[in-house]
Amino acid sequence: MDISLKKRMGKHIVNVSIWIIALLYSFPILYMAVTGFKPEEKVAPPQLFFTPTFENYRAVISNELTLHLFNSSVITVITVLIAVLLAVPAAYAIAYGKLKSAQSYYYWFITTTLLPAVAVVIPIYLALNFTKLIDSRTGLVLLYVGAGVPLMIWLVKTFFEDVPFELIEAADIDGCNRVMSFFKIILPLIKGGIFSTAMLVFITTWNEFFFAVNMTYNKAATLTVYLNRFLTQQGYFWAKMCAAGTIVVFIPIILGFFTQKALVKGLTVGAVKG
Amino acid sequence: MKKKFFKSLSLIILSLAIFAVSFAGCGSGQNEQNPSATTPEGTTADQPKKSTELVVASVNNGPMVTMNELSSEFTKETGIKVTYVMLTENDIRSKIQQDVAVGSGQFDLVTLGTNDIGTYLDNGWTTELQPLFDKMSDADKTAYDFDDLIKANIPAYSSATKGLAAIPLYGESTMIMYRKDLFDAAGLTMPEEPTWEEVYQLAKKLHDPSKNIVGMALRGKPGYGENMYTFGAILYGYGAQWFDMNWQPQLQTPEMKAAWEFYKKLETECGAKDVTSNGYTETLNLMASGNAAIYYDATVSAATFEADNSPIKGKMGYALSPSGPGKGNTQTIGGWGLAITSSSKNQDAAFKYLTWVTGKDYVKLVAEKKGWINVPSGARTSTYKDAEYQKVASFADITLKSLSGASFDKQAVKQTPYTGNTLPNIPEYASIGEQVGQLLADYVSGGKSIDNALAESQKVALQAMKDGGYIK
Amino acid sequence: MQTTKTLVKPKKSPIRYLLLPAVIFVAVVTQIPFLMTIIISFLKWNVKRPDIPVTFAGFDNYAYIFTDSKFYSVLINSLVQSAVSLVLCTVLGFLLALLFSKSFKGINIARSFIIVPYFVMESVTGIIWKTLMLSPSFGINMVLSKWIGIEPVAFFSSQLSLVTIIILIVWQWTPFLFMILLAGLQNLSEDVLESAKIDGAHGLKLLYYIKIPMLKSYFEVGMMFGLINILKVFGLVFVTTQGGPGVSSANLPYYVYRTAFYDWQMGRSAAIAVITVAITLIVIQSFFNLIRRRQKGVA
Repeated sequence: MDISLKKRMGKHIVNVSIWIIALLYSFPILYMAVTGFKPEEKVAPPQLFFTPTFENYRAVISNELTLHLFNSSVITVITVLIAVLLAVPAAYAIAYGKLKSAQSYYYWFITTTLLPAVAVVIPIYLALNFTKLIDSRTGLVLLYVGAGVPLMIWLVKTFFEDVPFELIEAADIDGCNRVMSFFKIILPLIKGGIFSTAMLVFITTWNEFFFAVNMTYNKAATLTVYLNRFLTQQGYFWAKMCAAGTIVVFIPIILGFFTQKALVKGLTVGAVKG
Repeated sequence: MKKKFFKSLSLIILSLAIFAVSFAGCGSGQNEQNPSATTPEGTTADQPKKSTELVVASVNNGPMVTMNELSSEFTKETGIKVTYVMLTENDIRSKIQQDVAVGSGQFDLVTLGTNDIGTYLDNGWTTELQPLFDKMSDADKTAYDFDDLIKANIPAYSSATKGLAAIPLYGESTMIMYRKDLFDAAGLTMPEEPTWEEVYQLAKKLHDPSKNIVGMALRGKPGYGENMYTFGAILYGYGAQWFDMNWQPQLQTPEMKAAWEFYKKLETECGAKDVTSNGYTETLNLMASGNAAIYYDATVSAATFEADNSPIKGKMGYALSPSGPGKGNTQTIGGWGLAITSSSKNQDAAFKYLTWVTGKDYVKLVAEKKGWINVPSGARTSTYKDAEYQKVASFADITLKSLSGASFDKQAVKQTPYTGNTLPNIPEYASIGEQVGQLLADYVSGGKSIDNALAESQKVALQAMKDGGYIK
Repeated sequence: MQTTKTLVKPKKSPIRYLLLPAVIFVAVVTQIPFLMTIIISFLKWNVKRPDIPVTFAGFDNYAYIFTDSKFYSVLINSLVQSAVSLVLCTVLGFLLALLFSKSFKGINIARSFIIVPYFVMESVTGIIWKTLMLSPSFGINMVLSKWIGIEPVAFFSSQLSLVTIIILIVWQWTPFLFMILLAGLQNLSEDVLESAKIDGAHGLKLLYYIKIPMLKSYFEVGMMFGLINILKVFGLVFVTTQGGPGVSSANLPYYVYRTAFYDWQMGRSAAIAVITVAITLIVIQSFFNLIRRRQKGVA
């Protein structure tokens, strides 16, 4: 056999096995999505052959699901907006504020991300109850902003530092004031970074479980709570459970798919600089 | 100049953020209930609410799902709106507990398990019901017919000191449910009043994993409302009990040990694989899908097996809760009651709904809309006298017999300082039962030796008794 | 980080006011509640018994925890769970990154399939693994063991429940390390690699002496971020094993939760929470120091 052909064959085998590994790794998700199309009686125990049905998806797209979808969307979008609003100026101040304590502020923000949610659950429950914010979207947004801002500052600061300081100094000499130089020079350079970290906040907020379970009853409950209840409420209706699960993970997966590159860059720009 | 600028900029950012946070509260999904509190613009918010609205926190068991659906009928009659917050048993217990403990008044009515009912009234979290019943007009009293409620239930729905605390939505006991067809095929018979040992022998003979049949479907998942609920019956059957009259925990007695060993034998030799992950839902499904021979659990499950779409409809036999070497009747009293929270601002409306949903007419309403098989069981004597109900519910007799035979205060061989059978009626039980349930599961799945598990259980109970001031 | 400091003259700038909104917000939401948790940890407070007054308990709660054998089991579970998961995620993530750093048509899509689990919420991960995958009666577990001809594995028994949790964490967090390390591999300077090859470094040698050291900072950032999040894992435990049987799969966050919402012992729960935070800080700090020391050692 001709050597180059052999080589090409070998390459193909490697490529195919890469694909197999990739599919095996995400098998649980794919299996979930497929199971959502199975008629209930073919799910447990699993059967290979079935005629796909939309029945389960139709059944779970109910008022209940839409309510929780609405909650998740509103909470997540507003959280991300506020996190950007608060974190970007703060990161800017840490990067360019000529503060002696800039570094300590920075580490302080990072340390707050270490705090496990359970460590504050009792006081937060009492506080939300006192302010009548239990089971409200407002309450959850407050909590999520508190978690999202440090994460954003952590990452966005490194983007700011990526901007050569000479650029800003030059802008200062040009007579741009600070705010103008921010919008004209710095922002365009780092908007990709801000966007990718905002997406990270989006995904973590969308997927947040602990506060969502403990600080809501029904009215403000998010999709992640809804899904957790699905398992026990619906007993063994696995097909419907899978249909609901597929719908729920769809948004973060799609977002993740489109933003993964920016996300990785956001996280590793800092890594390269140490 | 510059300083001022940045100061005001930061103020603007902060207020923008706060505005945005509160903005999250407005706009609506469905069921928006409380639009007044946090809306900043207040355009849609200021419509005054005239009608009363009741919020019921409820476990999502079948009968309550029906209650939720039929509450629109109540709204039609009275104009009072009823909204249900329905969660699974574990979820709802802790939500209700959180709510009443801080007195937040989110709920007007709550469903409570029998072991919580007395405590809640004693702690002032729920309203005394007797005065409300006394205030009823004579006509209402006659219509409601309080004496029709099954007598054996009442102690389980009352506090020892403050009287009636809740009304049963449905009452349940425990019994053996088995597949007559499988028994016949194997030439076996289930005695009407079996012993635990007999149940084990029968289960063992019918246990056949190669045909996907497990001999015994019995809860193994840890939890005070899970494995401890059914294990509680076994425990009394073997003559054990939780505490002696001085509140000393009795978890290391030979009787207790025998009960644990029997339970493990039964679960590991005749039960499902990985039995400690099977709770109420899982075992019910195992039986309902035709994959189990014998099932021991709450009497309400029988309705699932006899439902029209059930593959094992008409193939079922029923027997009394088994006895053990220690004690004859091991039937439990359980079920769910409806109580009014004391933080509710709509006490009268709440009472109106309470009597509506536990009244005689409601039984008829369910029968009419959902069929007789779905009427609340174990609550009213008249239900069991109804010919229609007897026709569809082949388990009616044995259910009533189980319930009437169950004892709320003489549950053990020796005297106990507590009432309540499989779920002892003390505030600490949830915590003790949860931890002992975990240890029991750990023992069953081979993680801990019997002596270790029992010693740790004893320690758990002892600590709880000390914390609660029962013993020094 | 250092670059700004040297360039910037240390003069108070009004820009520092821009920090305030974020600081206020974060402090109100995270720091003040945690201070309250510390206060609660000194109280004897059982929510189920309003008849017993809430009293100051001194260090009783801490004394109770440190003499409780269950606490030590949970602590060990937590440490084992975090350490093993982190190592497995890193090794597996790196191996996958090496494999997937090849480029051919469609590789980006193949990579996405590896990354997907990272974007799936904990409750869904827990549920699908508990039911579809590992259920001994109806899951893939049953299918595979039938095919091989063995008894289905009891993944939720005392012996295996911790392993099961670790499997789930690894499945969810390997993609994250994969993403980071893959980026690192793609950023490796071709020149250095070429000259190393000329010097005779190939295969494993090249990997061990050149590639891994060059990726050091990627490993650090990935592992640090991973560790912070793995230490906080709660939803996976809550949805799948509820910490059981016994406490065989409980970690510290879950134990805090259980003490608060099953035992209703608020003081004790708060004390465990405080200890959890202290341990988290210690673990992260020592991990950080480890990185720093090795950095110095290498440089």
